[in-house]
Amino acid sequence: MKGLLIKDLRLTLQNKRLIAVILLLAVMLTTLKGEDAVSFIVSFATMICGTMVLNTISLDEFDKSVVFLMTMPIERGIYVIEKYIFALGSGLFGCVLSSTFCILFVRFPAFVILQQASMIFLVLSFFLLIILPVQLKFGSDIGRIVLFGIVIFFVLLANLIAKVGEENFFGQLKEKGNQLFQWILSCDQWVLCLIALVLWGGCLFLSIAISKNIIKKKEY
Amino acid sequence: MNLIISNSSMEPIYEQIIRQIKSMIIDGKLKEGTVLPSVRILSKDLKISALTVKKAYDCLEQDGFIITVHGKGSFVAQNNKNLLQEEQKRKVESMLELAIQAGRHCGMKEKEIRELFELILEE
Amino acid sequence: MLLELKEVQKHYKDFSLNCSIQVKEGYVTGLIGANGAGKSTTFKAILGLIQIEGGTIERFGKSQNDFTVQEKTKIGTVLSEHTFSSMMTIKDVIAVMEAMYQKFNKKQFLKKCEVYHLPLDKKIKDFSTGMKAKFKLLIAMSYEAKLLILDEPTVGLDSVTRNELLDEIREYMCQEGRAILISSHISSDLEGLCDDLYFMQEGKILFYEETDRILSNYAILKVSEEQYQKIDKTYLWYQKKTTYGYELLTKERQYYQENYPNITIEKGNIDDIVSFIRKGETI
Repeated sequence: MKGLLIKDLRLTLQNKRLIAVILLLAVMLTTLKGEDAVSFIVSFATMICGTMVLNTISLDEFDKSVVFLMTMPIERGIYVIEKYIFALGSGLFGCVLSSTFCILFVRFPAFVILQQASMIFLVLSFFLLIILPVQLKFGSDIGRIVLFGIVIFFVLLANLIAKVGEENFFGQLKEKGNQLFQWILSCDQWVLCLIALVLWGGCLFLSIAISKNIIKKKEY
Repeated sequence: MNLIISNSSMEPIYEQIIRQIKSMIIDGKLKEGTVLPSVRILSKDLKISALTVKKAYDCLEQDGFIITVHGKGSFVAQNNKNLLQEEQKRKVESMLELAIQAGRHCGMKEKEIRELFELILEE
Repeated sequence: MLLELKEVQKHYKDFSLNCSIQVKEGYVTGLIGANGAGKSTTFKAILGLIQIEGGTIERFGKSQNDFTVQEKTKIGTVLSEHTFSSMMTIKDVIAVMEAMYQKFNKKQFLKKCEVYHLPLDKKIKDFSTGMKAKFKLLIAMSYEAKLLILDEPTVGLDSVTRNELLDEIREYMCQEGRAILISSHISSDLEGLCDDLYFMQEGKILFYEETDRILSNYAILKVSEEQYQKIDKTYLWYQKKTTYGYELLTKERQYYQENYPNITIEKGNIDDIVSFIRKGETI
């Protein structure tokens, strides 16, 4: 796996777009202030870093170098796990780096910044857990379409819930939702964290299992 | 050891090797005890299959010209006067065969060939 | 036996593979066939890139279930089209190789790169065809693999570069315990390198022979119609009708050389045999 990580890291660092993005970030920092700045900077950095993995997958399939890769001494399962580690690792890196930057240079309470950063990282994970199996199975072209689709889906869902919130059925659902929400708020913060972590772990495990299955069955 | 192989000759390559090594041994160019290149190295230098070289070495060993020691390689065997004489005789035999074939090929009768042979012998 | 395929089967929509191949220790075994004959499919099966649907593959005497990561470190591969990502440089590749192969010999690899003038900082996509071919072969030979699987390693190269690569392969075989399975459709390459040959067509092995026997015992007899009627056909294998008579393929050159001194006899090479098998008729 070490070899795979080295390969993906070197390929990513070659990407001149990365440097352009960092410069863009720096420019943005000078213009935005306050809470807006924090959430934008952190989410931007986290998402950009976390989705670098998709680039490596599409590079692997672009010149079919993945075929040669599979003749090397790696297990197919390890190929998958490396992608997840690379994805979450680089996302975490972007998240931590940008939050640290914000804590140091933006006049905003550190604790709030950290809370926001964790939420953003959670969103990234969720996103990756869905997109990675899709891209591994269908390739980056379809992966991009699915990406788009997911975003649209959630936007529409949010709209739908907001609009129909007043109707009876959805009103009841909203009731139940509110009750759940109240219960969640009443729980101890650490318990909540634990539950969230377990849920996150479960979803991660499932996503990895699906991806492993996809790659193990693939014929090159 | 300088061997020259012709790929276009009708003579099988292993025979070419055998012939050349034998004559080098007979002429004294390859002395007793000289180490011969390994099968793989010779096949690399001549750009031929290793099996061909092995075949040649096996034949040379069978005829008593070289000895192969497992793990150490092949060496030129001890000079055996009889062997060398045998070899010289074989050479003469094949040359005579060629001459007779050539004679038959251009239509000479057996009697004519025999007369020619006697003539040359007397010279 | 370093590699043994027993009745390996794989079915595709318009093509089926069914072959048995052996690669013994110390041998360079060639696989020759036209494009689409099944060579690459066979290699993919050997390398575990595709699943086979019948038969068995034994690598280093172990069954396919034991084709572990450890076993893969003993195999060196050259695929005809694929290699490391074209965006990588040789320096990047070295970093990956060091992490993947315990026996990777960085010093020797760098030396070879220097000998062949391979640029260390250029991306693979900017390499010439010759550079790419050399690079792929040198990588495969850089970690003391016992078995080299080379799929058309010399395709598209000029003769000078081809010979350089063939020399590297010969040099590699000078060490004990190794074997190579090499495919090509350039038979002259294989004649001067391989110890034995498998000839493949439409997914099946049509014929197998030792190179030495082909070069010393096989021959093509060119005969007129008259000579054809009189000739002893016991040792003739294939025949082809020509404008002036027949071309006959035999595995017993000496027999015909001695008994038919008047007939035009030529050495048989691999190209000729291939041509007979594909276009001639058996006798």
